[in-house]
Amino acid sequence: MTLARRTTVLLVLAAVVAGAATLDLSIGYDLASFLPEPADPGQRLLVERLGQVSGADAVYVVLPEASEAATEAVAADLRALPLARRVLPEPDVLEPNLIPLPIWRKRLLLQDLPAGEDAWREVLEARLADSALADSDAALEMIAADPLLASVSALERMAPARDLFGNGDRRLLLIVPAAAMFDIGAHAELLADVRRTLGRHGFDDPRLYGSGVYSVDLQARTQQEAKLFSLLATVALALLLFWHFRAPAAVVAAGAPMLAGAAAGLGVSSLVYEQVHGIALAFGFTLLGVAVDYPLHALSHRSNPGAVWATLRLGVGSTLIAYSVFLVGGAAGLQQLGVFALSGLAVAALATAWLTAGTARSALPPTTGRAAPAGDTVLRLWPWVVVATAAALPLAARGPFLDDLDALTPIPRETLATDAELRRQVGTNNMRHVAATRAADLEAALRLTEAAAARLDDALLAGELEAHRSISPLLPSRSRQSERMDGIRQFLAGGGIRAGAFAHAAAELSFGGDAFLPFHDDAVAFERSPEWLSVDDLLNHPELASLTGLYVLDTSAGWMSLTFLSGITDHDAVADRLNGLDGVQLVDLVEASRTLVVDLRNRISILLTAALSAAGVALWLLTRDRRRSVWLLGNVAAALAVSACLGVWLRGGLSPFDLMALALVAGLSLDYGLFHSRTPADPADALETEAAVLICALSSFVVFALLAFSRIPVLAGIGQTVAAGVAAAYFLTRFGRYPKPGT
Amino acid sequence: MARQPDAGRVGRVVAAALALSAALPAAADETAWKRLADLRFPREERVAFAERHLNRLLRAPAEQRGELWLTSDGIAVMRVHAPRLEERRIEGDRLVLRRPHRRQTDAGDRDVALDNGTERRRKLDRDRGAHLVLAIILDVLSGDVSELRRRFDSTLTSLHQSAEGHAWEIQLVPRDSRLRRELVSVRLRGAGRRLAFLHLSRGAKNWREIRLLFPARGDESVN
Repeated sequence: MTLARRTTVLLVLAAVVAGAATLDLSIGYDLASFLPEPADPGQRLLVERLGQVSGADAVYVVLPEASEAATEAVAADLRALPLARRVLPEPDVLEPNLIPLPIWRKRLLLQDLPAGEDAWREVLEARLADSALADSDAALEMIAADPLLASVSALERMAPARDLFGNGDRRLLLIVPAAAMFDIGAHAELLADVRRTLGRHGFDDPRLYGSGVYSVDLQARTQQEAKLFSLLATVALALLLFWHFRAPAAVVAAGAPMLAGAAAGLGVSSLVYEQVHGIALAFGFTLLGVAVDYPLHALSHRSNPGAVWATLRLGVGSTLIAYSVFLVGGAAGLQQLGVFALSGLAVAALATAWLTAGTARSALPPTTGRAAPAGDTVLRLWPWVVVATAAALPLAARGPFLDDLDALTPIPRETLATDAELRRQVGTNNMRHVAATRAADLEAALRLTEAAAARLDDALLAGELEAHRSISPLLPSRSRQSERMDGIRQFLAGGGIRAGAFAHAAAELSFGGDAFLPFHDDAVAFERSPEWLSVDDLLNHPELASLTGLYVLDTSAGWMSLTFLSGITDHDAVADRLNGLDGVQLVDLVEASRTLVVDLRNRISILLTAALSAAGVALWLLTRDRRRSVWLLGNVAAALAVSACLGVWLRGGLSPFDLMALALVAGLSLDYGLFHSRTPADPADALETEAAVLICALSSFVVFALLAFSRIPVLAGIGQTVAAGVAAAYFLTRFGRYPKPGT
Repeated sequence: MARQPDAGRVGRVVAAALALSAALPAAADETAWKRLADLRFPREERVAFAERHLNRLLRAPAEQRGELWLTSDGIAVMRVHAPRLEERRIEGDRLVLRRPHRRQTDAGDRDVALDNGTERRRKLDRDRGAHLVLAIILDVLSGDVSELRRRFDSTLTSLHQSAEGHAWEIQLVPRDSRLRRELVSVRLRGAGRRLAFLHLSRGAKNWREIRLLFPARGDESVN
């Protein structure tokens, strides 16, 4: 079978496998599957919320020059969108029929009844003033049935004040998405709906902010850039390979094993896992980059095709051993990455062997050029020692890692500045601090939340924070509800509205004797057949479910109730106040996410070091050549150091993405080193080896050097890292050895 | 023998009388609107008021006292001093109510005093009665009577000469029958260019009145 036919068969098979795998493939976005085991309560909270909490960040809609009426019309339409959980500010509720039914029916459980005549007078004075304004029948009905306005105030305390949402110059709407934090597809759908809705209201060029908006934009830009750079890379690679092989069939054949490997990676992953993480796929393809070299080596060696396989097997084997470290990486996402890369690499190697077997390569023209000297190869140790030391010194002095991942964001500075201003305006920028309450059951969690609220009120009075918000106003603990029920019984036993403190205060303020009869009647009915307010009442209500879901969480380890703190001026003082409440932790979400990134990076670094060590041991066992093994690993280390040094110099440090790119650099460096250190059988073999390694290095360098010009910092970083690593590895291994004279 | 009336002359007199009677309310109407427009308050000038209201929850009228003024950006502010402090700001179709009181906290078992008070905003288009009342106050304070003219018939009655000028009373009656269900009538009383009293009636046991307590000053005759 000719090379062209084998290539066609391979590509068809790859297409079939990839197609079948895609049919069954479910891609996940839960970043938690890549993160290390949480080390503290803050990290634990972050990891638990990452995948399951929806609407992690609101979409901020800015409407310039909009009237209040126009803004409310837009908000009403946005609320009808299926992917919008809440739209703030929410409408005022001053009529009983506009208050969610569970809250209205069980309003007596939402607030303590005032104790004594003075307290009742204070409440009723406020209702007297309300009645002066609320001369609609519905509003008077509400005052009569809920003199504490417990239902209204519970709802009001769950949302930012309306006046924070701007005026006619610039009005602001906040959309809390229904989609999960990393479901970019759903976010994109929501944003398209939002833009369409705004367009219908005459806002043709809406300004939207929020991390969901940036993720969608970034994904679109990344896809755009990926397409552009893929096209450029394909053209450049095709020209390069054509220049090298001078046969179109070889150009296509060179790409076939990697495509077959990618298809196999997809197939195996979809068979093994119900859901494959997007990151595992993205970096799986990156790690597969090393497989491009396999057909290049095999196709370049025409004089003695069998000779190359000993080295190639060594390369494939050591890379497989290195990548298998990901299988024991300790995180499901990393394991998926390992499965994808290992199956892909193995199949790419097998595909290369089958593709280039027998007479398939007979159509290729011979490699031409000046004959290279053949014979034993002497390996110099000093070049990589010098380069590795020179590159490692600045790394050690400055620290190789980038902790501020914000530096990688491609979002324009002006957008970020407006974003920060909007968050400051509505008080969401301070939402980095959370008092997380955990307990085995919901009742215990709610009681702890109430206890924490009492202490946080003290902090409020002491000026240590500006506000705190929890589920407590809307969902008191059962014990608090029970206390309030006792209060209702006492109130009724004392005569209700007809005698005692209430009656005196009401009479003094000119209220009629029966003015609050609806309140009294409801209290009597409630006393006869009390109904507790439960979390299911809220979760089963369409308007309250999303709000409730932001504050209480049913986790695998019990219930979690969150109290969001804003405007903390004295973190330590607030933390001290919460001390002693077993199960309540003050969490700094920003700090927790920073430490999570640090832990993730440390984990990847450890894995890479382990992978390199495993490859070194494998090489030594397979070759029994200690000098060669040390030389190979030394060159890999030097190439990694150069690459890392460049990353620190260009981008201020290495991100977790750069570390994955370094894994590819290690694989490629090993490949170049293996071929440069092998002893050629004859001058033709030596010439073909030189040419093969050169074309391998050139092709990788061209592809990743192009990517280095991407406007997306993460892509550019990967491009710079791999291109620099490839160049360093090629030159180090090419000039770090010489043929032994006289052999 | 008494002369028989000339049928033609009588007809002309009746016709003239009818024409005159038809013209009279129109003339009175214009004067009433002009008078209302002249009541415009100087911005930021504060006037004490006493407000009484009665509704179905009350057995006797309740009174509040405070001061009101129109801000430089056209917002009517009513600050109630007694029986308890509160501030109402009428911003277009919104009422912003601010009470520097105490509020119940999440802890639920005690109150926390807040410097900035609690604020409640009401959109008034759902609450037609309250909207009308507040719109009238705002329109009268700002001297913009175009909306009132559109919705009400007015009648001006001259009363007597007082130290403050010529006393007058204007009655506004909603033109629309649906509107009449929300608000039966509005009576405004004053002297010269000063409004002294505003009474809004929604029925026998549902009304609200505001008395403005200007400091005494010289006569401002109205031409």
